This record gives sequence, structure tokens and C-alpha cells, in this order.
Amino acid sequence: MTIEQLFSAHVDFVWRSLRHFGVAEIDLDDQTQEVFLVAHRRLAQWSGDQPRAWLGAIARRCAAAYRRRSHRRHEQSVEAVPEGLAPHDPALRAEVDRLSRILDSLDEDKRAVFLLYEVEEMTMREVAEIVGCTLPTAYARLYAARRDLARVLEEAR
Amino acid sequence: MRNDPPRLADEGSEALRALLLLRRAGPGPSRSDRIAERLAAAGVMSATQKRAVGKASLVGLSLGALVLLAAGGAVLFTRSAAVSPAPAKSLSVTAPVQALESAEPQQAELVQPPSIVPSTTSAGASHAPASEVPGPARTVSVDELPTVAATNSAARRTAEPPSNAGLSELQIVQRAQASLSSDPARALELARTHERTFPAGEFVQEREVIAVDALARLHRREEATTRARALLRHHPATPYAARLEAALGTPLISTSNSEGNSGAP
Repeated sequence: MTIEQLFSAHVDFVWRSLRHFGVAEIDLDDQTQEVFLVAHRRLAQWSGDQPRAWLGAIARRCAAAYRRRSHRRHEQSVEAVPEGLAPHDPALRAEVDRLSRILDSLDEDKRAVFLLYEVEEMTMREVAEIVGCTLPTAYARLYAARRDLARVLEEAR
Repeated sequence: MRNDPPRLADEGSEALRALLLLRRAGPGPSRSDRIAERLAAAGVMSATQKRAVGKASLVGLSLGALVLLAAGGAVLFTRSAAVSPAPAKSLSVTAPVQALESAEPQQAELVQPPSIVPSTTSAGASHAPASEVPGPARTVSVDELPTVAATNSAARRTAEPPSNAGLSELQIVQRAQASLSSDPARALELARTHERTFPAGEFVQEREVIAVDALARLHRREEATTRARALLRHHPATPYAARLEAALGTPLISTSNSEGNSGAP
């Protein structure tokens, strides 16, 4: 698979994954570019299997390095739900906002597992591979994230 | 996987489903096209690479672009003459009026049938140097059209001069990139051309990386290091820190993001 094919097929996934891993909106394009620069360098060593898992793992490492740097550079910003995309119903919107904030405040490991599974709809095995943990740990993180979000929903009632 | 639990998108609350939907939004075509352009400028991907959707539109472009330009060129010209140069990101100091005059003949050529596309482009290549023919004549570059991001295309088109013998910003950077190993002096010269012609262009970071690399190859280490540090200072999140370090052969101090690459698989 060429870097062009990888880019065409997976640029959206890489971009979203970086966001799942905590990269700020404003830096997503730069970091996406970085992931593909790294992928290009490592292409020869890649087995050619499971491109999403491979790119996702690169994205995770780039995002981790990014977070270390941006911690020094500026405070990590919590992003509000974008205006144009949010639901119209004010009550629902408030709930989505609250959930979004809770999600962003979860620790990195839980949030990434949750989003890769629930948003990217990867298998738990792929998720574990990307975040670099065992399958049982990945499950533990997924359920912990779900519990945290469920608690928020429960409190809102 | 068979044993994976049911996903919340199928059975979560309404708010949760809405949240997941929001997180599913991607970069959109214009942002990802821009990333593709920057990767092309970095020599990582071929220039015409687009997302899958881009391919179909590229086919129709060579014909469509001429029609579009014949119709739209006048509008662009009118606008750039009427509006003050202020909004243009990288407008050079030369007066637009002069540019208009020099642009007109080129514009006329474009109304001719599609079969002359290549000769039009090569006619552009024999044009005067960039510094002498700035302004909206740039809008006629057929090569440029598919790669321009929607968000600031108007600013860029009116801002970019016909540049180094009719080359687009991307073409200049790619040529510079291509001559790096064989002829670093030429790469540096092209980087200067880019700097002059597109001071606030899309590929400033790529150009600076090329300049640093070229200077290092020309054994002008001090200049290379100064320039690399300036790039890191202006663009702390640059994806090119590792590349700069590789070009210089030494780590760059604290602001560097070299760990971003060393840790990758």
C-alpha cells in the first residue's frame, strides 16, 4: 500500500484519532501531517496488515509527544461542542455539553479506549493494540469510562 | 469481534448518541486536501494526490477549468482591482494595476480551446521572473486550481503572483525539494524565490525545512541552525522538528518536538 492510498483511505480516521487522544482542534492538521510523515518513513517496515491499527498506534505516540510538549507550551483547552453541530433542543444540548466535558476530563487511557470503540467502532482487540495494553485492560477502561458517563447521566435526572 | 459488547451508538441514551455523532465529524475535504498539499510539498506524497473524491473532479478539471476561468477570471480581476490589497495574505508590494496589464494577454489565451492547455502552461513558463509580474495573473494556473483550499482560496489567488516562471506555490516548493540532494544551491535559490513570492504562503514551513537542509548541505551550518531555531520558535507544533534535526545532525534545544518521532513505531 502506498502512502497516497493510506492517506486517501485513512486521513479522517487519523485526524479523529488524534482528537480522541487529546490533541487540540487547532493542532489537529499539523499532527495529522506528522502521523503521515512518520508513516512514510516507516512504510518499508510495516507488514501491510491492519492499516488502521498501525496508523492509530503512530497517532497515539505522536499525540503523547504532543501532549508532553503542549503541557509546557500552554494549558490543554477543553473544547466546547461546535455551534453548528450541536442539537437544537436546549435541554439535550446542555446534556451533550456536560457529557462532552466529562468525557474530556476522563483520563487519557479511558477516553481513548472509549472513543476508539464507540466512535471508530474498532474491535476491542484493535483498540487494545492501538493503545498498547492487554485486552482485559482495554475492557476495564471501556467499562470505567462508560460508568463515569452513566453516573453523569444519572445525576442529571 | 464476536465477544465485543454492544456499542452505545446502538443502545445509549439520546444525549450519548448525539455526543458520539459529534465526535464522528472528520476534518472535511478542504482541511484534508490542505494536509495532502503540505505532504506533497514535503516530498512525501505525489502532488496530485487527493482524497478518493478528488479524483473524479480532477478529470473534468482541465476542460472545466478553462471555462471556469474564462467566466470567473473577469470577476477575480475586477475584485482584485477594486478591493484594496489589504485582505490578501501575501500580496507583494507591486501595484495591482501593473499586474492587470501584464495579466491580460495571458487571460486571453485561456479562452482558447482546451487543446492548448499544455502550450498555455509552457508559455507561462517562459514568462518574466516572478518579481516582475505579480498580481492576479496567478489565477490562470490550471495546476493550482484543484489544490486550493476553499477557506482562503480567494485571498490566495489574488495574492499569488504568477511566480517563478508561472509556477504555483506548490510547484516551487516541490522543485526545491527535488533538487535538494543533487543541487542544494538551486534548492536554496528556489526557497528564496518562494520566500519572495509567497511570504505568507501555505508552505512556509516546508520551504524553511528545505532552506535549512540546503544550508546544511552547503556547509553553512550556523545559518542553518539559526533558521531552524526560528522555525521552531514561530511554529512550535511543527511536524518537521525531527527532520530539521536530521538535516542539522544535532538535536535542537528544548522547544524541539523530536520525541514526537523518536517514540513512533
